[in-house]
Amino acid sequence: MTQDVSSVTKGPPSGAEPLIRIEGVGKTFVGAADRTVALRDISFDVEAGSFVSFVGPSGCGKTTLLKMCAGLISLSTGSISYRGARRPIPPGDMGMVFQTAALMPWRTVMRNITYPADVLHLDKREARSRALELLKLVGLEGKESRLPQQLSGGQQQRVSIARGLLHDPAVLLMDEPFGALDALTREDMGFELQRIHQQSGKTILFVTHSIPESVLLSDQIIVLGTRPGRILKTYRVPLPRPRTIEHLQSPGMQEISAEIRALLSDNESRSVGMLGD
Amino acid sequence: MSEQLTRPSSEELDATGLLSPGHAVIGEGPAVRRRFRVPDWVYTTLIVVGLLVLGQLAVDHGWVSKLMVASPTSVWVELKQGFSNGIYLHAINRTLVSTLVGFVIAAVAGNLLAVLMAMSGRFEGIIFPLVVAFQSLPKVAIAPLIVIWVGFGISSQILVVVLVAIFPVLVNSLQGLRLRDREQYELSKSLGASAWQIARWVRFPASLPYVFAGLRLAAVFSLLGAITAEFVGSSEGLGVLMLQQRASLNVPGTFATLLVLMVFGVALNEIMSFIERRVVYWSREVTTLNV
Repeated sequence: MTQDVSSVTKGPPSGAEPLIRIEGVGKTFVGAADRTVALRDISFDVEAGSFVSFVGPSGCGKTTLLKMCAGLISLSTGSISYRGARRPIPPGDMGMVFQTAALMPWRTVMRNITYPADVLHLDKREARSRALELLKLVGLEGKESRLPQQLSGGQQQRVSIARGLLHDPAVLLMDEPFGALDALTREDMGFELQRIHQQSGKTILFVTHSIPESVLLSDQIIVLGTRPGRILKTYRVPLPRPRTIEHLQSPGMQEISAEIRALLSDNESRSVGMLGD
Repeated sequence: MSEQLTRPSSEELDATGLLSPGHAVIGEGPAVRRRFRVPDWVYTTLIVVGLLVLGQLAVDHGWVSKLMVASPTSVWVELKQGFSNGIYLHAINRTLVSTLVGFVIAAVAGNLLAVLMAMSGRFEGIIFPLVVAFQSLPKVAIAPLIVIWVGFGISSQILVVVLVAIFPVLVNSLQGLRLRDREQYELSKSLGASAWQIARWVRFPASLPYVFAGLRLAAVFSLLGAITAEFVGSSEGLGVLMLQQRASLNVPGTFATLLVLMVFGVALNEIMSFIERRVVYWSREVTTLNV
């Protein structure tokens, strides 16, 4: 507990005002009989326009962290600042993409993508023309009047990304968006997302299990460990974009991947050891 | 399955008489006829026809008494006569009115209650046990009481229909409204959606397959309720007609009325299914909560 307090003063790297600043954030779930520390002492900055990945095993609290940024889960300790004000990302300023496409099966592709416009009372005609642009961006031109069930899993996820971008949010929050896709589609979607990131200039917070995926896409990788969920290390990936499959196999990338893998397996064995005591 | 794409050997063909799907038929190989599969409805029709013939034979040859089973031809005569002199139309009209009016009231009230319960856990907690307790009561048993309270007319019939049909509506709609797709909910929240917006765009549409499952059950239950009420206390309707026919030992007439009721029930079900397919076009599987 004292560690939490002291760590707040430690602070993240200084510099220009970041878009999002996470400072000493912790989350404790209080059950009937016990308390579970899901996250402890999380601090990092997110620059506007950057791509930040949260990598870690199941139960490290990466989804919890993402939802705290979205204001969907409250903080137990610490603070989140957005554009200099102490608050999570305000509603409407973010787009969300989940592991499942979470499309409404009764709405056509067009009406699914324009759902944010319904909620935010945006101009309907404008929303439609923007949706058509976004469909082009995600490679689903001409599919606007289909129902979700007529699309493949990868196509559904593309629709979900287009919906996340409709209201032109500053931040895109993605919770293992490609986790339910097959390996080949997943790789394609990774490159697609990189292109979308470059074209749209959005800030993206991206939760993933996949180390190569995070290395390919990220400017910054936050590696989280379990028991309790905490930051093991933060990496910056300074490689130029667009990155390709060849980049993934370059020594620099390989090195980072190997290091993250080692870090995570070390964390895994140590926490198992702790349980044994 | 063999992996190589060779012609099947003659032994393989002789043994089964069929080609496994992996094999390509090439050249002069024996012609393989695609087996014709007789559609299910053919068998269904055969069973019905068989039963009709059997019934006719049984009655004609005196295997069973005419007081037990009506021969198909006598039922047909009775039907023709009943429809031409207007007995059936009159009775159908009455039963139809009480069934439909009761059904509509049950549908509206049941859904209203479901929405109230879904909105307030407190309300649900207080009311739901009462509803379940009431549902455990056989409606046929209280039908006589209702006749005493409300009278011998159509209003008591409608009330019985409502009481029988409201439960499946309520339970299924409530189940549908309880569904909460967490991701759609969080997505809406991230856009700052109000509770009403989430209800309107997420919860109500998502509950529709359940609402319709309940309505379909309720439609059939409504007919059941209407007939029950007519048995207990009414002067008109298909149920009354059947009681009268039975009392005058008009066995063909009783069978004819049963047949009319069956068509009635099937029609109700079909109409509901039709509307359901139109409204809930996006839903493939619909789970029904039976009572």
